[in-house]
Amino acid sequence: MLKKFLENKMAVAMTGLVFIIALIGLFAPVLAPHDPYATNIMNKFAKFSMDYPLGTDHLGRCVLSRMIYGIRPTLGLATLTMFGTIGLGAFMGFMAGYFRGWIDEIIMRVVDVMLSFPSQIMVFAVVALLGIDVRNVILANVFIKWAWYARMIRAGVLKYRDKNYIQFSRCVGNKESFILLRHLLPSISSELAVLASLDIGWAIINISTLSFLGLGVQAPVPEWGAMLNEAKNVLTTNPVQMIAPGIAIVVLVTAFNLLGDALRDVLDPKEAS
Amino acid sequence: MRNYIIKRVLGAIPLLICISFLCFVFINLIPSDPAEVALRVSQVPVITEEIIAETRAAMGLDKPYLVRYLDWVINCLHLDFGISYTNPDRTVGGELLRCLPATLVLAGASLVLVIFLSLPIGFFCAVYKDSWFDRITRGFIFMTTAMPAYWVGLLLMWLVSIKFDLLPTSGNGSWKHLILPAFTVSLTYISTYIRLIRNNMLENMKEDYVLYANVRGLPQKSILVKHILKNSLHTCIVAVGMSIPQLIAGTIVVENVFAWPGLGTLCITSIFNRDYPVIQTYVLLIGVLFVVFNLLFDIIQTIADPRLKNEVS
Amino acid sequence: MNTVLEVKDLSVALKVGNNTKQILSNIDFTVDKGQCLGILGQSGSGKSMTAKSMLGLLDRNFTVTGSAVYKEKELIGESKESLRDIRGKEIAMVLQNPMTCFDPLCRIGSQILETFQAHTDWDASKQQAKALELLERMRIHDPLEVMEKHPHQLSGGMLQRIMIGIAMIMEPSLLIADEPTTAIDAINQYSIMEEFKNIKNEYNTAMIFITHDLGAIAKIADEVLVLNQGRIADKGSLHGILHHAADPYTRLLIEKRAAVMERYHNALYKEKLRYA
Repeated sequence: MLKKFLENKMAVAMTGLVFIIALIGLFAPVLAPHDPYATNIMNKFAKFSMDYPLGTDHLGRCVLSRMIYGIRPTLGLATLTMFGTIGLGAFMGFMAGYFRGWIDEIIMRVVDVMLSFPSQIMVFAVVALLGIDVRNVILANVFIKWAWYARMIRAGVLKYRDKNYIQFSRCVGNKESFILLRHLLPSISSELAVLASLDIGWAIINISTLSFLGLGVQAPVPEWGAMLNEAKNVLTTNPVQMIAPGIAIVVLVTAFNLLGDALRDVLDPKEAS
Repeated sequence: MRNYIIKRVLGAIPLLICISFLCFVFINLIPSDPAEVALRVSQVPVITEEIIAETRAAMGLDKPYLVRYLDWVINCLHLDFGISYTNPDRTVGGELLRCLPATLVLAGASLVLVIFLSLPIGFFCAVYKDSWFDRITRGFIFMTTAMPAYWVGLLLMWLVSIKFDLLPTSGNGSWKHLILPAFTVSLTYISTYIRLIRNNMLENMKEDYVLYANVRGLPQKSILVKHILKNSLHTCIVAVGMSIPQLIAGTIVVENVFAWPGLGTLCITSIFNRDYPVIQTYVLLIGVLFVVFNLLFDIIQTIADPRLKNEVS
Repeated sequence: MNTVLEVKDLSVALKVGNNTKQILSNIDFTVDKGQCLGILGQSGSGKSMTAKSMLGLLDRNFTVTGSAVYKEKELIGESKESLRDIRGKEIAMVLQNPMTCFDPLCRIGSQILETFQAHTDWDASKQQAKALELLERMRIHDPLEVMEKHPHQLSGGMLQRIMIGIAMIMEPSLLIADEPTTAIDAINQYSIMEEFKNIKNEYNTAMIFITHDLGAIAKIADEVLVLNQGRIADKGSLHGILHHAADPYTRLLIEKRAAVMERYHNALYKEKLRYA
């Protein structure tokens, strides 16, 4: 599996790209040329220069520094969302597939309702209910997305429950839930990886959209969506402001999308032959 | 056939109850006391415990949960959705009704764009699979999935309205105001539908009936349009139907970018103002629309399909 | 001029990525007027591919070389559109899965009529009359009602007979039957085979009968071509193949069949003894 992954140039390149972006975000204090919060009204809307490679914004803050610091909330919150989603989805899916009966029935009915409802509206409803806060945005995203994972993992559990090696370990006297987890996780992890890398792009767009609308990350915290919100106000006079954050989002999301597609090629035995 | 329709309609009722219950629970979960909010909204100068208790009784908040739910549902069925917190002169129903036309116009224009652009493009992508046209379209689709709608809106606004001054930037008034928002909304859906139609047609091309049509020496055009396209569209009916409520709900972000005075703008403003009845009713409306359109197009597809039609009647 | 089709050195290669896979190699045969050539082989041996490659029914990933001359006209390398004119009119074909060969959303009548519209300039009333004639000739009850039906409302045997009817109403010079009895039940198989025998006797059409069923070949073929993995394993008259096959693979096919038949006859014999 690892060998096939390394052979796929796209998968390796995109993993590399995401890693580099993550590292830049991690080492933001070292790499950023300026303090992202330091305002300097005298120097607002500065052109590109050696000192300010991407210029400055309406408060004279260094755009490049804000971009670099912006990696943290953008990528960090999206990753957090995915962990939450997969965690909750895996738990629910596993419960449903493992215990069957009425637990399965209830969980799957809830999943059906969740999937039949428009996800974007649910996010707005949850944020409206809990108040405008980043944490609530994460909660809302987890809340609307877990159902997909629950359904997938339940299907996986049902498929592997009656496989011979599970039955065998049952005979040997191992604890069934332990066996299932040990055998199930590797077998569905590939499918999970594909779905997760495609969904993380979705999460990035979603979080940045909410920040853009002012419902997520709040100013003055540097976040790409929030930066675009500020850029919108000066669209007529300084359109350059909206270029950098927008391109950054597109690059990051494209990287995850390409990674997801490449992973699917790597992991899908049908495509390979 | 009639029995089938009745069965489907009855089957949708539990889902509607589920949605309405969720919406009802929603407003009862908010941290602030509705009675207190109502008092503050009507600008009662001094709010004491007694007045709150009185208002609670007047609003029926002291009744059991289920009774209140039933009362609320009955009110909703009478199209009485309560009063806006921020603007006591206005009813929620009136507010929504005021904003609905703008959103419907936007969603309708977007739907027209989606259908008229994605259908021919998807068709030619499938017919000329792997040609330069297909490749460019696929690249374009890939790009649009990575672009946030609001950013596309900003780019278009800058390029078309500011740089070349062709169309107004925001607001609504004439058809000129409609073009940019409608195009932005439809962009995401165009990609989805091009892909849907293309893949559906390619699937159908592998079917035996296409081989047999070729074996009989039917003209290429007739095979493509009369058989392959018809069969592909057939499977798309439900998807297109479902995109209508999706479009109505999906205008939120774009309305905000272009200051389009529709439901989306109302919803965002209400979130900022904590105007819970408006949000509640908006969510309820969208939820009901989803169920209704799903049901409607499911039935339409069944009627249009000779195989299913005979099975159910 | 009795030879309808003469195939020489026909080869087909499939290109997948950078690999090319040879699917058919050096197929030679001729079919004469009023004669039936049986092509016998297992699934995947390239039987259907032979027919499809001649008629331009393969997609761009396949490369077809060699020659297939139909009435002094070379088919290989001919333009898609002129092959389209030949198909269904001069060379008709009957396919394997009647249940999936008709467009599920279209009425049977319109699918018959569109074939006429593609190849003739008959007016509406003549088209209607011909369609009815076709159904009646195939012994289908209530032809008017059948025309209004959708494919899923008819049985496999009926659809197969409609397919044969559509093929024969244009009075083609060559009929290719690609496993026409494989996907239908035993009783219909028998009547379909009778239909083909009638066609052979009445119309004097040249016929290629593709099957993996030795029994069907024995009923109808004059000459037999045995294919194995895209190559000709054996070739000769029906009698010669059945009794003096030179090729070990062909002999294997025949012996297997003989063994099955023997067991069947034994079982039948025992049953008879039991009741006697």
